[in-house]
Amino acid sequence: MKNITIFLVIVLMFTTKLVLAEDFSITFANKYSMNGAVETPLGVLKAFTIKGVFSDSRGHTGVINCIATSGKNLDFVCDSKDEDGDMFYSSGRRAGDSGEAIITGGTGKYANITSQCEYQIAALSKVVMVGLITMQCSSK
Amino acid sequence: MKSIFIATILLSILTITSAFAEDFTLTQSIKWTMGSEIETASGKLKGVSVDGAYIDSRGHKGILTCIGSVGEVFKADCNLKDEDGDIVYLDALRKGVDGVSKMSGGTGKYKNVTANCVYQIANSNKEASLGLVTMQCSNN
Repeated sequence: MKNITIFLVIVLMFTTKLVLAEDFSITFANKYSMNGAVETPLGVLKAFTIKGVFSDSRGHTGVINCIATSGKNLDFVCDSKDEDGDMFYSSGRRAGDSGEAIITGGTGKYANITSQCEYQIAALSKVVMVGLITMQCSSK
Repeated sequence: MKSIFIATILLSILTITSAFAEDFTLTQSIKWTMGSEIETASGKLKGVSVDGAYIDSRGHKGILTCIGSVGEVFKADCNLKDEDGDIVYLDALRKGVDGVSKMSGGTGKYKNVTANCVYQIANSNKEASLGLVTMQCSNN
């Protein structure tokens, strides 16, 4: 009887997590501008600003602005504003063509919502510094 | 009996057409640069160049370059170079956020490949001259 109860609790927890977690994807079209570089003990660190637009699988579109540094990894913080004027905040790190990001709340519909995301540089034109980013997220 | 025969023929044609037509999608991240403006008989026409990066649902990715004009409609000729260095040629005609495009051959794997496409500006940031474009194509 105890085992059944434990099993049912585990199933309930798993089901609740599935119901509360929302998976969604975001596609970004981004443009990169380099702002400068500094020598550090770990090598050259370059500063970037990133401007872009996005469209997500929940039906939202908007613009994104980021500041980033690129050394061994690319680290960034961004704010994004959707079609309703609601904002969400994100940060992350990338090594190579893929990385992880976290969305940490925002305003309006994004207030108090956090999401864990993985993302990839799906395509990049180094000549014009334009990239296509695909991101998969799961909300808590 | 005659109706069944005609229906069978029509079904066969439809099946064969479906078997040979390959549907695929492209997602593009683009940046545009406006050129000079001229007066024409049908109004003002601005030159535009477009550069960007793309991925398609067939697993290819690369960079794209277009030159075109913007007046009452947007018209452009483009080439897309994929990860193998193969190039596909396409034209684009758009009014508003929806347009049509035709792929007409290229080099390597795209030689003699033609496709009819429709596309949408999924999102754009005019201030940053950036756009996210989705395209759906069907091979002839």
